[in-house]
Amino acid sequence: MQCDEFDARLDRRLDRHQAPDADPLLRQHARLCPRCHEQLTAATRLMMGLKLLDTPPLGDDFTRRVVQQVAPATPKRRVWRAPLTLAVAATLLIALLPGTSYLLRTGRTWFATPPTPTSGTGDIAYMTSAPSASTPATADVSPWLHYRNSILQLYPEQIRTRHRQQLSALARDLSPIATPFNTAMTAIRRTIPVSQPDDKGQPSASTTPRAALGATHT
Amino acid sequence: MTDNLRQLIHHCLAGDQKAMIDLVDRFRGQVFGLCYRMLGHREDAEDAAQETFVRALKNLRSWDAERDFEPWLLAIAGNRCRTALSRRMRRPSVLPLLEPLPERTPDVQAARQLAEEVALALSTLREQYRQAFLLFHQQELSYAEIAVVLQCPIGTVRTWIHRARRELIRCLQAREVVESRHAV
Ligand SMILES: [Zn+2]
Repeated sequence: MQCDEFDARLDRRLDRHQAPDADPLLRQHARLCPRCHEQLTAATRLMMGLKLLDTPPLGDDFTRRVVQQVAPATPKRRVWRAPLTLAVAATLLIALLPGTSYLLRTGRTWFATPPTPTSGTGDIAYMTSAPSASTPATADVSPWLHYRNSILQLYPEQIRTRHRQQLSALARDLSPIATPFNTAMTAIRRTIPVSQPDDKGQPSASTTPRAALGATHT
Repeated sequence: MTDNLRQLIHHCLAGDQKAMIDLVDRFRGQVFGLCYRMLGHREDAEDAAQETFVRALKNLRSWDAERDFEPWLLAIAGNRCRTALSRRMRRPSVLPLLEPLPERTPDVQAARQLAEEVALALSTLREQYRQAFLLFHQQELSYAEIAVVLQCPIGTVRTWIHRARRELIRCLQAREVVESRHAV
């Protein structure tokens, strides 16, 4: 055996995780060749030393620390956030629906210029649209509009005035965002097929008001 | 890969903390062993091992279920060790390569001394050689698995491991660890 053959054979043994000094052919050559003898001895010592390498023990709480860091990001906790978000969104939607529905139909706005105490103009549209004699017949208006009108008719004037004042103050506070809000409302309104009243205040025949779906038309 | 391990990982993905504990317990010795040999420092190795598991568990979805889990995990450990080593290079203080050892009986001490010499020789290796060598000889991964871990061709892995061995043998010879009484 030549020295380069010895090297190749030694590599093959080590590649197979076999003890290098257990190969008779390698030992035979090593007995005659000082260079390869040192190689074989060093390789044997190396593998022996590798097995003796100590690894200190890990801290007892290692696993707990790892899982603690990971646990908050697990999907288990996320599961509860979606229903909560949905519940909040649904509550808001239900709370805003009557007013928004009305505004969408009438084209009025939530916010207007602050009122003067005597004029009664520029008030909150939702609250100041008191029913008038010109209100269309029940069969021609949406259920929501009908509901709103009947509530306003029952409302005592004093309560209406007090609420008007409170809501006017609120409108003043919210006036900085009134313009963007109205712009957004206008944009939303354009996307919904709301009927436009004709000259006589009757819904046009071309579109069916969403809010009136299900209402009886004569 | 065993079905048992696959199932364990499946439970981890579902957020089962007990499964996470089992998974960490199953591989912690292996991961910490590699980190310790790569870094030669207990605290650094523990930090690297911890980061390895945290990353692995957080990114478990990115593991390809068609492949073995172990090389994927050890690849993360290797990356964490590389980061720790580069951090250490920027740090002025010199860290000990070996932990202080208690005194032992002569036989145990001789074995301990040999282990120390091997550890010292390992610390002189290039990072890639050391990692390839340890993955092969200590973790007993195949060349193909190491190629996955180190993201390089199998031929390169073979070359690195053979070179690492030659350098280690030279180092042991230079430090006269190879004595005549140990001759074969
Ligand atoms: Zn020879």
